[in-house]
Amino acid sequence: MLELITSILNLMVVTATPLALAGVGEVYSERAGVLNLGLEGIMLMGAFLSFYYTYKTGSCLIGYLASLLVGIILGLLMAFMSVTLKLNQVIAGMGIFFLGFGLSDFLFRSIFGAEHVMIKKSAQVGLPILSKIPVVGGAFFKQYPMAYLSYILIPVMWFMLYKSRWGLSLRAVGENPRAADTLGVNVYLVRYLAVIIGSAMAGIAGGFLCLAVVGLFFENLTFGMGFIAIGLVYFGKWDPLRTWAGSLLFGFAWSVSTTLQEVFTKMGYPSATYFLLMIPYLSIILALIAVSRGTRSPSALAVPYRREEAR
Amino acid sequence: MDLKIKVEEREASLFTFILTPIIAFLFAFLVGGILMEWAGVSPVDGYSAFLGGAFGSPRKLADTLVRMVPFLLMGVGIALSNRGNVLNIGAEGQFIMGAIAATWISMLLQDFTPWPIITVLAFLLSLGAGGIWGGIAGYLKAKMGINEVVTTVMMNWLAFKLLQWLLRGPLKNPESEMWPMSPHIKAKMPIVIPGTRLHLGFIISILIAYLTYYLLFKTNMGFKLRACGKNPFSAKYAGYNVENMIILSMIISGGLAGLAGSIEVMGVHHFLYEGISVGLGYTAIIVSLVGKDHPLAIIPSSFIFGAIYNGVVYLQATTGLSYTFSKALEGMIYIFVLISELLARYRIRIG
Repeated sequence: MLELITSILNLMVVTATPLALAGVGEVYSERAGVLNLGLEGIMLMGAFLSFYYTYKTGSCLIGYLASLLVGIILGLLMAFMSVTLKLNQVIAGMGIFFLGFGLSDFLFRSIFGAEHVMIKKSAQVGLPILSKIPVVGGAFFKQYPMAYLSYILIPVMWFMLYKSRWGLSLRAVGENPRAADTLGVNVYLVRYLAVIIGSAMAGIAGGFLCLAVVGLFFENLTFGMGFIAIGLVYFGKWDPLRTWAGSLLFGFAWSVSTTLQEVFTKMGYPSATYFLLMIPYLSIILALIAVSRGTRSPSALAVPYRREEAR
Repeated sequence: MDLKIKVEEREASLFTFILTPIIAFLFAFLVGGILMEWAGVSPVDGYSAFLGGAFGSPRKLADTLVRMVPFLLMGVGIALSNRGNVLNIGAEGQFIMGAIAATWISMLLQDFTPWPIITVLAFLLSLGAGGIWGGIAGYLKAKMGINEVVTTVMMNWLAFKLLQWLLRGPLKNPESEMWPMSPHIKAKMPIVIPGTRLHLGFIISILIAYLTYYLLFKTNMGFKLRACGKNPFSAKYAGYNVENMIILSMIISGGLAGLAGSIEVMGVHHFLYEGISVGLGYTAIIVSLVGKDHPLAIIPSSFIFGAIYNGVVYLQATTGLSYTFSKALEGMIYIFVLISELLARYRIRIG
C-alpha cells in the first residue's frame, strides 16, 4: 500500500514538473502583460529538438540546451509580434501554436519517417539521506534532475517577482505600463525578457516531457499540457507558488487516473482507460470554475503598449 | 540602440486587403519549398504533384470540394464567434461530438427507419451536440469569466477521449477487433454529381455560409452580436445583453462544427473512427483568419485549404514527402497572413 502511494506521488511530481515550469514561465509573461497562448507549440518544438539532439549526440544535456534555445527563439518571435508589432496577442499566440504544432511533426516525419525510434531516457536520481524518508522521500527526492531544478527555480522566481527591483518593474509593466514608463522602466525590454523567459521554460518543459516521461517523439506528445499550463496560471491567480501548487494538484489527478487505468486493465475493462483519461481535463475545467470568483488578471494583460500615444 | 520601429495606422484599400494574403501565401509556399528541398524532394516536382493532386482531374477537383466542406462550416462558425469576440478553439471537439451524435442515432434507428429520416435527425442532433459542447464554454466565459481558449481546448481532449472510449464500448463494431471503429451507418449524403464523391453537404455548406453572412450583416441580431464583440461596454450601455450574446455565438459556432462532423461521417467515411478529425478543427481557425472572419470570404479560403489538404496527400503518395507538410505549411501561412495583414493596416517605420 505504501509503495502504491509512493508511486502515485512520484508520478504526480513527474507530471507536475513540466506544467510547473511552463506555468511559472507563463506567470512571468502574463504578469508583464503578454498573454502567450503559444506554449503548446513551444513545448512541442522543445520536445522534438531535445529528442533529435539527444538521439544524435546521446547526451540529454545537449537535448535540453536545444529545447531551451528553441524556446528562446520562439519567445523572441512571440515578443516581436506582440510587443513590437502590437498584434492581437491571442491571435499571435495561436500562430506560435500552429507553427510549433506543424513544424515539429513535419520535421520528425521527414527525418525519422514512420519508424519508432527510442532514446535512452534520463533516469530518476535519489538524493542522499532525503530519499530514505518513507513515502515522501521516494516521491519527491527520487526524481529526475529537472524536478530538482524546479524545486529551486520556482521559489527563486517567486522571490525575484515579489522581492527584487526587477520583479517590481515587471509587475508594474503588467499593471500600468504608462506609469512604469514615466518612472524610467523600459516597458518593451521588460516585456521582451518576460516573454523570452516564459518561452524558454516552456521549451525545457517540452524537453522534459520527451526525455524523461516518454522517451520518444510522436505527434501531439504534449497532450494539451501547454494549454493546461495556461489554465493553471489562472487557477494560481498569477502567483508562481500557487501555480506550482495547481500543477501538483493536476499531477495528482493525472497520476491517480493513470494508476486506476492499470487497475481496470487488470480487472478486464481496458476500455474504461479512456474514460478515466477524461478526469484530468475535466479537473482543469472544474478547478477554473472553483476559483472563478475573485480572480483579477493583471490590468494590462493582452493590451499592447504604445509609447507614442498620449492618453 | 538607435533602431526604433514605429507602427502607424493607415487606411487600407480593398486592393491591399486582397493582395496582402496572396503575398503571404507566396511567402509561405516559398519557405515550404525550402523545407521540401531540405527533405529531399525537388520543389518543382513537389508543387506540381501538389497541384495535380488538388486540381488534376474533375474527380480530384470534386474531392477538393468535398474536403472544403468541414473547413467551410467550421470556419464560418469560428468567424461568427470571433465577431462576438469569443475565440472558439474548440471546433475540433464540437466536430467530434457532432460525428458521435450522427453515428449514434443512425446505429439506433437504421434497422427499421429509411435513411433520409435518419439523415435529417442526425443533422438536428449533431447541431445540438456541437451547440451544447460550444455553449458550455460560452456559458463559463459569460457567467464566470473563464478564458474560453483554455476551456475549449480541454473540451477538445474530453471529446477525443470520449470518442476513444465509445469506439471500444457502446459504438464498437464487433467485427473489427484490431481497429477501433463503429459499424457502417446507413445514413448518408446523396451524391450531387454522379461519378464523383461530391455530396449534398457541399451545397448545404455554401448555403449555410450565405445564411451566416445574412445573419451577421443583415439582421438585428447580427448587429447586436458584432456590437457586443467590438465594444462590450458600450453595447451593455445600449442595453444589449452581452453575456447572452457570448453564449449564443458559442452555441451557433459549436452547432456548425457539430453539423460539419455529422456531414463528414455521413458524406465521406460512413463509419466513425479515431482519426475522424485529425486537426480539421484547428485548421478551420486558420481558414477563418485567412477569410478575415467574413463568411463569404471564407468560401474561397476553405477551398484553398481543401486543396492544400488533398494536394499534400497526393504529394506523399507520389514523392514520399510526409503528409504532415500541410501542418507545417498551415503554421507558416498563419504567421505570414498575420504579419501581412499588419502591413496592410499599418505603416511601419524603421529608424
